[in-house]
Amino acid sequence: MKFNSVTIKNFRNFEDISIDLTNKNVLFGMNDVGKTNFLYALRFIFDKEIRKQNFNDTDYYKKNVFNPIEIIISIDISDTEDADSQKLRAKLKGAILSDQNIVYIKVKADYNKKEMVGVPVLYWGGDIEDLEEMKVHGTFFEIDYVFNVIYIDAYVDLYALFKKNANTLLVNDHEQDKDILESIDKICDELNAEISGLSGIKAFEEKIAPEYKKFRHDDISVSVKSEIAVKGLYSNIVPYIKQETDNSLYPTSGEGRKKLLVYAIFDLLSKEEEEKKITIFLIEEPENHLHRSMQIALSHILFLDNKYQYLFITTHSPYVLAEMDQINLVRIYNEDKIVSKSVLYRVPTKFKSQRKMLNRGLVEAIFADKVLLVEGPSENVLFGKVLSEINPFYEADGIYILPVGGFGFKPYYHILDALQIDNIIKTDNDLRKIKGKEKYSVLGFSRLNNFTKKKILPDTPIDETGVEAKRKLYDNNQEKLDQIRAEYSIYLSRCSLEEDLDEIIHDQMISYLPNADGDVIGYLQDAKNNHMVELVEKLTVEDCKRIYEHYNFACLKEVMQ
Amino acid sequence: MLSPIQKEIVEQPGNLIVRASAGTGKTHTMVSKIMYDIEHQHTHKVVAAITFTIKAANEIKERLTIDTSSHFIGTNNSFVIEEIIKPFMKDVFGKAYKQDMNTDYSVKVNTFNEGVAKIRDEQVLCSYENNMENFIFQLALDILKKSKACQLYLQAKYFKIYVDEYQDCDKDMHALFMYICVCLNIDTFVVGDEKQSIYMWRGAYPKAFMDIWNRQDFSKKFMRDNFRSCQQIQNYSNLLCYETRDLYKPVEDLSSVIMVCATSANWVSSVIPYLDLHKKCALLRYSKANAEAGAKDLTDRNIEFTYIPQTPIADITTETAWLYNAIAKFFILPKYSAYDFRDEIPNEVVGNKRILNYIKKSLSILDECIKQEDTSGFEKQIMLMANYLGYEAKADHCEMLYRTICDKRYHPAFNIDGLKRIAITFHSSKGLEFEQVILFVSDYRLSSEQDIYNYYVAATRAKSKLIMVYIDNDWNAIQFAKNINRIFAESNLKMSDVATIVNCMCCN
Repeated sequence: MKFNSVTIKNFRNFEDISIDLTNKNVLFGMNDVGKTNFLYALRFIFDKEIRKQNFNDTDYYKKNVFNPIEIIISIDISDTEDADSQKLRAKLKGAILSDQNIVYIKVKADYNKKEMVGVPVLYWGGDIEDLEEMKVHGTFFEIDYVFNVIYIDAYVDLYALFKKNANTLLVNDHEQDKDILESIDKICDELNAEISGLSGIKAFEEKIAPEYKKFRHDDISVSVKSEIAVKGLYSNIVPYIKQETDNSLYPTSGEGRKKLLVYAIFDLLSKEEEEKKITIFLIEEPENHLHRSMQIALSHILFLDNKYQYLFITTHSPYVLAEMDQINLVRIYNEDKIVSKSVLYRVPTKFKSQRKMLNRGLVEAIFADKVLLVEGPSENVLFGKVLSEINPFYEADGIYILPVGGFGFKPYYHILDALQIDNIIKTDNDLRKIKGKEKYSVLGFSRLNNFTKKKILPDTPIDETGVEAKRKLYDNNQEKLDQIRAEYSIYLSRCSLEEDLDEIIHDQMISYLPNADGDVIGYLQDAKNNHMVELVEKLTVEDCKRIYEHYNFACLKEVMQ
Repeated sequence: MLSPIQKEIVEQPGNLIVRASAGTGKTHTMVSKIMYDIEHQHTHKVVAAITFTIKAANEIKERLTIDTSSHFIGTNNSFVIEEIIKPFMKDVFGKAYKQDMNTDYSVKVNTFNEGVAKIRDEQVLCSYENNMENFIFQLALDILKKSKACQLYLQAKYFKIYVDEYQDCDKDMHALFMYICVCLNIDTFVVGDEKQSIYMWRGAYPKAFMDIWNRQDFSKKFMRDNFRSCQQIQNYSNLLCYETRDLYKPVEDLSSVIMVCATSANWVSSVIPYLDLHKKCALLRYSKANAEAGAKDLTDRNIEFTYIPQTPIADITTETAWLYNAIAKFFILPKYSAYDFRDEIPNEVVGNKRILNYIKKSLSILDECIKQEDTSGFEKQIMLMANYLGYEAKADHCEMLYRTICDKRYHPAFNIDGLKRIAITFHSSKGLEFEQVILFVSDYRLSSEQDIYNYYVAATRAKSKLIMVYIDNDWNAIQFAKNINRIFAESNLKMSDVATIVNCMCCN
C-alpha cells in the first residue's frame, strides 16, 4: 500500500491544492501556512472523532459555504500480496474493479445553512468519477474498520492520555488479580475510614453541611473521601520514573521526559491494533520540549523504525529530519495563495553511509527561502561574514548558505529546485590535467553545462593551466557566463575564492595575514578553513562592502534581493 | 468440553472434512473450531461460517463467545449474493448491473441468460424453473471466475470458510466452494453427514460430500459417537445405514424405542401411556397440515402440543433479514431487550451509546404504530431504522414483519426452547433435539435413499424416547414395514430385536 496524493478543496486556508505523497511525509513551511490544517484535512478522512465534529462555516475557505469542502486522498493498492493493501481491499468490496489499482477516498461536505454545519460524507472506489458512498454503521464509516489514526499533538498531555487509555494499557485479567483487586478495595475502605477519623476532616464535614443548607434546603451531608475509592483504581494512578541507580520515584515532570513517555504509550496503543488495522501516524511538531539530542534520537525512530510506516509529520526542526531517507518533503508556502511543492527525497546509494552528513546542510536549507550553495567551509565563513555585515538578520530573513563539500551540488539543488526554494550556486573555475596528455579539461565549464543541461559553454580541453589561463578562459566567455548568471543563478568564480578575493582586497589581506609572508593566496589555500577564519575576523565593514559590490561576488547581491 | 476426536478436529489446520453422524456434537465442535482458529489467527482476516438456514447461523452466532461482528456468519445464498453477486456483477457484466438487487425465488426462469436479464431489467435475483439447477450459484461462480477484483477481495478478507451441512449442497454450490478452496487457496472446512441429506428433492447432491471425502488435499475426520440419543435409539438409527451398522451394540432394555400400532382414530390414546409429561416432546410430521392437525388431536386430549408454523419473515433472505428477525423478537419475546437487539447488529461496535438510544427510540415508535394499527407509520419507521443502520428495507418485507408480529399464531416459532411440547415439520426439526419424539412411519416409505435419510434424521432427533406410530392398513405404513424389515434383515435382525412393539395385530 502506498499513498499517492491528496487534493484539498475549499478547506480552511486551502483554496485548491494537490500534493504528491508517499508513505512517509514531512510537511514544513512558515507559521500560518496551514500545516496543522493539512493534518486536519487528513483527520477529516481518517479520524472519526474529528469527523463527528462536522465542518463549521469557518472551515470553508474564506467562508465560501456555497461550494462544498472536498478532500480526496489516493492510495495505490496494486501490491496485492501486501497485508495493508488487503486490509483495504477486504472492506472496499466491489468499490474497486478488476482493472483498478488506485483507491480514492473522498470526504465531501456541503454546507447546510439551516443546521449551520457541513456534515462530512465519505466516498471511495477505484474510479474517481464514480465513487461509491461509504457505508455507515451508526457513527462508524467502513474506513474506520481499516485505519487507526494516531494523532500526536505538539502539546499532548501525558496524564490525560494515560488516564484515557488506562483500561487498554493496564489489563489485570489474571486469576490472582481478582484477590489483589478485592484487597485493594478493602484497603480503600480502610483508608477512607481512617480519613474520616481525622479531626480536621470531621470538623469540615460538620461545618460545611449547614453552610450548604443556607443556600438550599436539601437533606444532605458532605463527606470527604479519597478519590480512588469513589472513581476507581485507575482514576488515581500516574506513571512515575525510577532511575536504575536510585530507588526513589521521580514525577515525570520534565516536559521532554513526558513527551518521550507519550511516544512510548502511543507505541503500545498502536500495537494493540496493528495486526488488524493500518495505523497512520500524524505527528505535529515533535521537536517541542525536546533537547537537540533527543530530537535526533526521535528522528532515528521515526524514519528508520518500521512502526512508523505511514507517517505525516510537521516540523520546524532540522534535527528531527537528521535521519531522513525515503521520505516525501512537502513545502507549504504562500504566494498569492497557499501552494505547495513536494519531492521524494532518497539518500543516493553512494552516500548511504554518510546520510547524516549529507542531510545536515539540506535539512537547514529546506527551511530557508533562498539558499546560496557554495563549495566548502571557506566560502561559508567568508560569505557569512559579508552578509551579516550587510544585513545582520539575513538568516532570519530566510537566507541560508549551504556548503556542499564532497557531496557536490547536485543532490542539493535538485531537492531545492523541486521545492521551489530559490537557490544560487557559486562554484570554482576548475581545470584538470588529462592523464598522459599536456591538455587540461575545463571542469568548471563542464559543470555549468551539466547544471544548465545545455551546452552553452565550450568544453574542449585547453593547452595551459594556472591562474592566467583561468582568467583568460573566463574573460573570453564572459558574455555567456553573464547570461548563465542571469538565467540560471549560477556564478562561476573567475579562478577560485582566494584569487577572486585577492583581486579586490589584496593590500588589506597582506596586512591582515602577517604570517603569510606576502603569499596570501597560498596561505589561504594551505589550511583553508583556519586561515580564512583568521582573515574574516579582521575584515572591516568597508572590506565587506567592497566584496559585496564586486563583480566576482555578485552571487551575494542576488541572494540578498 | 471436547471429546478426543472433537479436539483433533478443532486443532487440525488446513482443509478438513468432517463426517458427523446425528447427535455427535457437530455444531459444538464447529463453533469450538471457529473460536480456536480465530484466536490463533493474527491478521485482519476473518472467517465465513456458512449455513443453510438463518436459524443455524444464529445458533452459531449465539454460541460464539467472541466478537463476531466482522466475520461472515450467514446462509449460503446470502454469502454469494452479498459477497460476490451484488458487489462484483458490474465488474463482469458492466455498469448496467451497478444497482441494488432483491431476491425473489418465486420468480422462475429457464436459462442463465434469462436470469441475467431479469437482474438487469427488474433487479430481481430469481431461480430456475428446474430446481435441480441453482441459478444464484451458477451466476456467482461465473462472476468469481471472471472478476480478478472479486478473487482478490475474497482472498484479502477470508482466511477460512466453514460450510455446515455439506450433504445438502447441490452441485452448483459444490462447484463454487471447491473453486474458492482450490483456485483461491482459502482453507475450507466442511462438515456434514450423507445420511442426513433431506434435500435431494431440490437438488442436494450428497455425492459432492463424498467427493471431498476422497480428495487428497483434505484431512478427514469421522465423528460417530452419538452424545444425544440413548444407546437403543443410536442402535436403531445406526442400523438404517450401511456405514454405521458396525456401531450396533445390543442392549436388554428396548423401552426407549416404541412402535405403537394404532388407527387414525385412536393413535393419541395409544401413544399417551408412553409419554413422560415432565419431559419435552416433539411431534414430527412430513407435512405442515399433518403437524398442525396432530397438535390439535393431542391438545384435544388435554396433552397440549403447540404447532410451530413457518413465519412470514422466515422467507426473507436479504442482507436485512437480521433486522426483521430482531424486531420480531423484540415485540414477541418478553425478555428480549434493546440491548439484545443492539448485539445482533452485524458489524456494530459494542458500547456505542448513540446507537442504543436510537434503537430504543425507534422501537418505541414502532410499538406505538403497532398499537395504533398504523401500518404505513410502521413501514416508514422500519425504513428509517434500516437506513440509519446502513441497510435497506423493503415494503413487502415490512408487511411480512408486521404480520409476524401481529398474528399470535407465529409467536411460538420464536420460543421453541421455551415450549414443552411442540408439533413441527421434520424439515424444520433439523438441528434440533428433543427428549421424546413422536413420528408417523407412514411419512417414510423407505423405498428411496432420500427417504431412508429423512427417517434417519427424524429418528435421531430423540434423546431418550422414540415413539413411532404405525397406522394399521395404511398403504405407506405397509411399505415402511416391508422395507424396514428388509433393512434389519441385512443385519440378521428383526423389528422386535430393536424396538418394543405395542398393539400389533399381526404380532399378537
